[in-house]
Amino acid sequence: MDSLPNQLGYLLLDEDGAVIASNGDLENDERIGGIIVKMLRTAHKQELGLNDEKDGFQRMTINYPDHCYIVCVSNKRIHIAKRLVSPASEVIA
Amino acid sequence: MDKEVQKCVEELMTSPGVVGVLCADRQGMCLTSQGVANSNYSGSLTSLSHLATTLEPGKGDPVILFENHESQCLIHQNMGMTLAVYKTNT
Amino acid sequence: MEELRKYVACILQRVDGLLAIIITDRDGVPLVKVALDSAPEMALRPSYLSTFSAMATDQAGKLGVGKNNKIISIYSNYQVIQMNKSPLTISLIASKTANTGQLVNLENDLLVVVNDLASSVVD
Repeated sequence: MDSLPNQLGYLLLDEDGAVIASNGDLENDERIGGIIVKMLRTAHKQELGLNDEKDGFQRMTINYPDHCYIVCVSNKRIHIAKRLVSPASEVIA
Repeated sequence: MDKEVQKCVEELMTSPGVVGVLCADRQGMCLTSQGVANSNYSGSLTSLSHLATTLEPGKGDPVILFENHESQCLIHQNMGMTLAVYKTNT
Repeated sequence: MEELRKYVACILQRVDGLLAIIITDRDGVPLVKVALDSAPEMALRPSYLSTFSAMATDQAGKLGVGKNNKIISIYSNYQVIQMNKSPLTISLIASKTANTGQLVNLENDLLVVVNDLASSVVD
């Protein structure tokens, strides 16, 4: 995982928010992990009106001008990647 | 004042792919909601944007994006106000 | 009953700044009460809780805009949201900074509990 281009850090949590693996900028970053777990819980309770009613959303991205956090939940584990934003994938809100 | 906001929201609703818009204040009370956006969720949306600003304090307000196969939800906070935009993938 | 309490305690944790959830009857007698230690003791007293069901909501219903559903009171340090679920009342006590929208939206989750309780109260 750590060899991907543009990747600044990686964090793998279990469903309670305990750190299983981490590297780079996010090395053992329990603070960021905790906030993201909280966000996922808030988002999970409501389906936020997204169409797919089964599990609401597949991916949560938190975008800053030059980097972003990408969060996925799979197999009861929370994957968080911090990446540099390449201009092509920039999101305009 | 609210007329201008309403106009802005209606304008946003006519943008391609946009199916819902919601504005909420600092307390999570819904100011306006249009399309698929449900005013019940204004609290959660506000709380999400507040949490996101605590990730990297002082780095400005990030944009949160939720997505699945067919739709997206963008949430952005500005000066305490939260704006959520629902879009379908085109 | 213990299960209901656990479920309500679970809901209490869901919103930051929410200090207490109390479900009372018309006289302010608590049927379910879950509170953090930091909740203001004043707001947990039956004398405070009964003002809503006994006076406020009835009076507010006479304003000519239909039945009163809920009253949100904001104080200098706390906010109290009371919902009229006749014959019961839900009171949410939270810090002033808590997300009011989220608190109001808890109504849907608490409705299950209230319906359960209401049917046993009537029996």
